[in-house]
Amino acid sequence: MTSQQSRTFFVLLAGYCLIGGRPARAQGTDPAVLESGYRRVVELWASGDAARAVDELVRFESAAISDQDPGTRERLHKAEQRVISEVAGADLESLVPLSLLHQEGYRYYAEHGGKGAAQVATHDRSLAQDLALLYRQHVGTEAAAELASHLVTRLASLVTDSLQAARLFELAKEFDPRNAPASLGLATVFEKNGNYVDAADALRRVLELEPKNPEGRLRLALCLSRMDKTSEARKLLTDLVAAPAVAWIGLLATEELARLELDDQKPERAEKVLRAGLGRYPTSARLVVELAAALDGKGAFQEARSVLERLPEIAAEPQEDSRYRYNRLSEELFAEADQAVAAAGRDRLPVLARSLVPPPAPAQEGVAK
Amino acid sequence: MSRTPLASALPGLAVFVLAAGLAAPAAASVQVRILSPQPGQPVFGSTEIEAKPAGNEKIARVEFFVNGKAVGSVAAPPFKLVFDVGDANVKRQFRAVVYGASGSSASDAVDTEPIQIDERMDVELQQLYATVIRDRERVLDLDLSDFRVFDNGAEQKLIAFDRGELPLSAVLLIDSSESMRGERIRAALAGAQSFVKGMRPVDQASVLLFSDRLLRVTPFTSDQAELRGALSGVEAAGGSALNDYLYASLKILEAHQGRRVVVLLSDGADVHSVLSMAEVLREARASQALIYWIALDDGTKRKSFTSAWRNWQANDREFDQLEKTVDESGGRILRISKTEDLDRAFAGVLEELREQYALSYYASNNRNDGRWHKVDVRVGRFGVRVRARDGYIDY
Repeated sequence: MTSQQSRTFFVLLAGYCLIGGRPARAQGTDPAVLESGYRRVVELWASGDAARAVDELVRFESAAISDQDPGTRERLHKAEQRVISEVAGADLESLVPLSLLHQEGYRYYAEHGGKGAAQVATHDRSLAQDLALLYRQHVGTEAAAELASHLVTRLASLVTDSLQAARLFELAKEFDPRNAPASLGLATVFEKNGNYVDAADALRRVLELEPKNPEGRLRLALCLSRMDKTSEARKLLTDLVAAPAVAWIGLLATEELARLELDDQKPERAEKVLRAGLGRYPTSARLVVELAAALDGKGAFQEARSVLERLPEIAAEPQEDSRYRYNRLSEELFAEADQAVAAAGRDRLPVLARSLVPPPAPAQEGVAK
Repeated sequence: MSRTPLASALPGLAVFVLAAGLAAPAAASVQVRILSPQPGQPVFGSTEIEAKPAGNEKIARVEFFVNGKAVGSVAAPPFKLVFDVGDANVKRQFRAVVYGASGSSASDAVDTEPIQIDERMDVELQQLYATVIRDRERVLDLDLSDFRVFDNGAEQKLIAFDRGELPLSAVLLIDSSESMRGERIRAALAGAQSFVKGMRPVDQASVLLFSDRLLRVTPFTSDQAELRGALSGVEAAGGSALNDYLYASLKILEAHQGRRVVVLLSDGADVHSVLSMAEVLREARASQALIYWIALDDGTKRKSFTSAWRNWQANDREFDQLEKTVDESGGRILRISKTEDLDRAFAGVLEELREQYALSYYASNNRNDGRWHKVDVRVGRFGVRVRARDGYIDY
């Protein structure tokens, strides 16, 4: 972005703020006080004092958004916009750490809740997303698109609402179609909502980008199985069982391959898969239980009871459950996005600090509640 | 997508719309999928047949067929009906045909399988445990002459009659998943301990604690100290694999003689099992164990949650099947909303077991052919209700 473009951006945004803003009102919180409060948060963030910055952001935004005067919320938005337009006008790279600041605000509310948490969380999530969007649009380079995509992917991984998460993953894909974790994240959301067709489409996209991606292959196999496309599912699972790149995926592929055989009324084949699986994963209680069911299925009731006698020794060393793991968005999946945005945010903190200009004097005394 | 005023105000800001769900109009079409029974599931007697139609036009009706014979038609949701398929241990085909308003149609079929009988189980002596209730109070003054037992409609000669004196083999199956964290797991363990305390020396139990994984399981024992030790020092965490461990509990009980019971404490929400509740039901019918379910939260977990493993409709079906499994076993569901009531619930189960009537007979019509035998226990007193298992599979 040229400095001319940057100035234009700043002027347009500042113009909106001036036109859209209303004069300070007697009740509620004064716009200048709100602006200085937000400026203080950004200063702390830019100084690297992340914990205090997030504490301040939480205190400041919660008070404003839960204020009884409905105008306070609008004034908060505008106060934040004025500071954002100021720093973005000075240097668009400031948008990256600012987006991360609001992601952390979102994370706090999502984890801790509290009065008005839903509203504040929505505010921070939307702001974090829009800051990434602005960065993508106004910087315009391929590197910016990739970084914005990582920013939105990270935000999506924090979001608990599945529809919002899906939209964010879509946006991350739009920013950077090569972002495989975003496609995988999107597929996971679709899958959790029973939309196996769209999940499979997203997973095929993942495998176009990363043909060996084990989680992508596993999830595609399970979606196909649920769509009754069992022969393709069986092939994917068989490959994963034969050459498990990751232990939990190999274990889960074993369980699901046996499940396919049981559903297909082939308990003997399920038994074979499960016995081989127990050779590889001898402490899996679930494989033992599934083997008992397979033996029951072929009428070997006594043997089914016998295999369950192993359970007490297995219970002594419980391990992370593959099915539990599958049901969550994994942290490793987003590790690349996390690392990329953490480094980019850290590198740009000095830019953010330089972009802040001295605050205007408050119009009247008072503090945010 | 919700936007902040910041984004809305900026010129040139792209409006992005989630593509999912937006599609060009298509020609009228319908589809249908049979939800119940499930492929391969053995079915007997009154069977619920449920289909899920879909499509881009109004559904006119869904017609149901069993082995090619029309058994009913449903014109409005829920698209399900109950049909008595008989007691033969045979393969059956269920078919649903959906018709759209435009006349378009589609069908789906599911084959159910007979139960495999490669090993004969000695269940010729049938033992029934009956709880008799009048006005919510258990009736405790009955004798042999008050009972009549019908096996597939044929009255049976009772050869033994007891009340509560038979030794008990119990699995205390405690859900220790995340939703049980804190006071709930402490109260659950304390409640189970009170059950153990009430056991007699001839009774034995196994403690099985599970979340998404197996946390602890003890051998069957009458040693109260060992059982109480297993019921302490557990932190609740993780997901829930109720189906898998209810199945395992029923299975390990098979090796025990006499009165067998699973006391399950859970909110009923299975997320992570590899086995379906239909498979658990099959095992419950085979094992003939009583299942008592102490249902925390009044069973409100039923409220349609979704996961990567099942969508909310499938989860609701699992929940319904759990209720059916408990009911068929002759046990019951104790709905608990407060943790302080858990102690009383466990004690109540033990008290009920003590006050059950035990009835034994040799079935006059057993053929070891894998058929479902419907059992009906009647008591010759006015206004009483009898709870006992619905039947058994004739292995």
